[in-house]
Amino acid sequence: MLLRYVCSVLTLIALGIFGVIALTGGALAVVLRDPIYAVLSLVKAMLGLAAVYFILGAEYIGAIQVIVYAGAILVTFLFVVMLVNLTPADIPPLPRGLNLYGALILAITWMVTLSIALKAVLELPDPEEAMGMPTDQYLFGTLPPIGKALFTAYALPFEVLSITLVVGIVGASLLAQKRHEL
Amino acid sequence: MKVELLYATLTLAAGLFSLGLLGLLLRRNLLLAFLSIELMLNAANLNFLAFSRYHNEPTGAVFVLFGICLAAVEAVIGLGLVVRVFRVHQELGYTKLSALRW
Repeated sequence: MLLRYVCSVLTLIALGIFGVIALTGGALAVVLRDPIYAVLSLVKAMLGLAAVYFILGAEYIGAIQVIVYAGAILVTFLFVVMLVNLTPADIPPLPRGLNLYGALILAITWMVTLSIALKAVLELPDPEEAMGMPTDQYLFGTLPPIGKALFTAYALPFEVLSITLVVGIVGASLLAQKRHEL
Repeated sequence: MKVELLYATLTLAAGLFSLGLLGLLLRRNLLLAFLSIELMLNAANLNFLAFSRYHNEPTGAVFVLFGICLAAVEAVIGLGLVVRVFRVHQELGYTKLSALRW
């Protein structure tokens, strides 16, 4: 029992550390002037989030996060930053005065509202204690349950997703080609 | 202890979402605003995964998988649009974007 308690406290501490890494990465992505640094700090946020996924026990999703988000999507962002040759001089400074205060007030209000609403979560019963549910902790993040759900209950969304990917590829190549006539 | 883990994860996701919202409102550049949208998408994914972990079933993980795929499609199309806008206007500010077609 004591060992279990220590383990869960350690889990929370690890979650806090990687959460702070993700949050600082996100904050830097919002305030940094140099677009390359902004994209790279978002990579830092994504890697921190992947570590959070690992802590939650979803190893497969964590690996996908590293490969697809940090590895593919943000590298595409970097590629576009270099393609359009964005330099810090092209980036307008953060707005001052009314605009800044308005945005800050909105974001802080949002955060406060959410944290008040989230208090309700703490009232939820612990599923293990409430129902005596057997916790398949070692199976949770692995591929078999995900694959089973993906190809039985969610087979139709999965196929629709593949069509969406094809449409995305065709649309992007159409958008990016040189303009002949429109 | 599972509830505390859920609460901590949801709070983290709320913080990330607020940061993304702030960035979307403050950045006056198409590409950097787009970066903030990615941050908000990730916060939503984290919520899915937190509840998936809490209920110990893979549905949330499946939806995160769908979300990541859709984010990839969205990034490709959005960046194509960014490149197109840059070709026409030679800059990426919001102010000149008034026409859908030019």
